[in-house]
Amino acid sequence: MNAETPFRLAAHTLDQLMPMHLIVDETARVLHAGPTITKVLSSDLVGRVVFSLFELRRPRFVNSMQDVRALGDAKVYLRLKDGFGTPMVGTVAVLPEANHVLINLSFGYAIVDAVARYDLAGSDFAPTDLTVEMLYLVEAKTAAMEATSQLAHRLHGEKAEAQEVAMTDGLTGVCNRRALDDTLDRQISRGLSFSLMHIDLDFFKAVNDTYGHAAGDAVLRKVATILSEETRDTDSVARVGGDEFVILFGGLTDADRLQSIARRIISKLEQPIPYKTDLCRISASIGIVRSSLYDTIDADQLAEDADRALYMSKKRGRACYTMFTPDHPSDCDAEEVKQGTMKQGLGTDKAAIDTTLPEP
Amino acid sequence: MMMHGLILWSFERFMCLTYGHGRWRDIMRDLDLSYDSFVPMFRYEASMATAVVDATAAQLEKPRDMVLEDFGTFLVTDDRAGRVRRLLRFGGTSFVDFLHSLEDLSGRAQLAVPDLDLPVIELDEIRADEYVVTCRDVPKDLGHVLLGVLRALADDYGTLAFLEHLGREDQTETLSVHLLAMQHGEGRAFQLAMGGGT
Repeated sequence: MNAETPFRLAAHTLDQLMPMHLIVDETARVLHAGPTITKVLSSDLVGRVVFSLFELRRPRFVNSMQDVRALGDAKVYLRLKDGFGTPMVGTVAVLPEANHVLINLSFGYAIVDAVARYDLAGSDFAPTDLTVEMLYLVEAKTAAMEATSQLAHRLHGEKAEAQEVAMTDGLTGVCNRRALDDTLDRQISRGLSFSLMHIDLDFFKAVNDTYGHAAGDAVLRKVATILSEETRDTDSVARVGGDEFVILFGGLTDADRLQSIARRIISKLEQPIPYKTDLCRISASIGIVRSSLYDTIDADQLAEDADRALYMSKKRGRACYTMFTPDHPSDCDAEEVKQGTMKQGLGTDKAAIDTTLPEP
Repeated sequence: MMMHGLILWSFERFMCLTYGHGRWRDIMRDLDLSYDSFVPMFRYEASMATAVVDATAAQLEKPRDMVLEDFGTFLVTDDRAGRVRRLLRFGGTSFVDFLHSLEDLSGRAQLAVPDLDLPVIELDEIRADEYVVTCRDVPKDLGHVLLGVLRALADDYGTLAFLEHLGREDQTETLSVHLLAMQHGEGRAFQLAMGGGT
C-alpha cells in the first residue's frame, strides 16, 4: 500500500486508540474530542475554540491555526486553562483533508497529580498506554523510599546518641577527655581565643577513704553540677581524671573575670556536700592558662602550662588558683582563697595549708 | 527556604572525590556543625548550602563561582556521579532538545523524589542558535552550577556552544547559550536503557 494513501478511521476507533485527542478544524474549533480529555475538562468540547482550552508553552508563538499547520507534525507543550494550569505534552498532526489538525495529548510528568485531580481510572487510558505501569512504579518507589528514609532517620538518631555517649563522662554527665580534646582542637584550628581552667579537687581522697566510694561518686557528681552552674552554656566542663576537671572558656581571656570565676568556684566547692548523714568537705586547686599569651598555640603545651599553674597552686597550699604567665612561671600571678571554714576539720592536710599559705 | 539533602550530599561527594575526605572534614570543621556528613534523605536550611560553599571557597582559595561551576561539571562528567548525566540525557536526543527539556526538569525530578525542589527553569529561544535560560527564586550563585552542567552536557552531545552567566537580579539568575555548531564533535553515546550502553 502507498504510504501516502489516507486511512479512514471511525471516531470510536480514534477514541479507543487516543482517548485524549482532539480534532480541530481550520477555524480552531473542536470537531471531535476523545472521552478522557472530555472528562478532564468536564464539558462538551465540540465547537469550543482550542486556544480557549489550552495555553501553548512551547513553541511559544503560535496564535492561529495557520501557525499550527505550519508546525507540521510536531511536539507541543501546553497548559490546561482549567484553573490548575496542568502541564500537558501533545503531538500535532496535520490531517491530509480539509485542513484539519489532530492533537493527541498526554500528561507527561504531571501524570500522578493529574490522575488524582481529574479522578482518572485505568479505563481512561489506551490499553497500550504505560500510565498504569508508571503509577505503579511511582507508588512502589515511594513506599521503598519512605522505608529508606525512616531507616536513615533512625540510624541518624542512634548515631547521634552513640556520639553523645562516647563524648560524655558516665558518672557525672559532663564531657569526657575526648570531647574536651575535640573542642580544644576546634578552638585552636579556628584561631579562637579561650582559656583553660584545670581543677584538681583537694581532700577528695580523704572523702573516699572516710565515707567510701559511693560518697566519693556523689561528691564528683555535685562538683560537676557546681561547675556547670558556674559556667556559661558555651563553655565546656569536662572530667578528665578521677578528681580532675577542666573548663574551657570560649572567647574569654580576661584575667579579672577568670580570677573571679576561680574564686567563686573554690568557695562553692568548699561548702560541705551532704551525703546520707555525713558532710563531705573538699576544696580545689586551680591552674589557669589563657590562649592570648601564645603566638602559636599547641594543645600539649597548653595542657602542660595549665598543669604547672595547678602544681603551683598545690605547692602554695591548695584551695587557691594560679594564672600561668609564660615568662616567669615561678612568679605566677596567684592568690589564695580566704575561706575560714576551710581551715577547720581537714585532718592531716590542715598543717600543710597553714604553713604554705602566704598571708593575704 | 529549605534544600533537599540530596543536593548537599552530592556536593559532599563532589568534594570528597575531587579533593579528598580530609579536605572535606576541614571544611565541615570550619563550619562547626555537630556532624561532618549530609544525609541524602533529610532537608536542610538553604542558608546551610551558602555556608558550605563559602567555607569550601575559602578552604580551596577559589572563587565561589568556580567551585559551583566545577560541581556542575562533576555532576555530568564524573562517572561516579553517572546517574545525573543519564537522567539529564533523558531530556532529548540533541542539545537543543535537552535545552527545551530543562523546563520539565523540576517536574520530572519530583516524579522520582517528591520533595526534591530543583529550580524552576524557563527557556527562551531568541534565535535558532541563541537561548536564554532563566532560573527563578534560586539560592545565590546556583546559576553557576547550571552553567557547569550545561557546558559539560554540550560536550556530551558533541555540540559547540558558548555559554555565560548573565548575572543575578533579585532572586533570579540568567544564562545565555549561543550554539556555534550542533554537531561539532563525537559526543558521548547514550541509550535510554541502562546496560544498553553508557
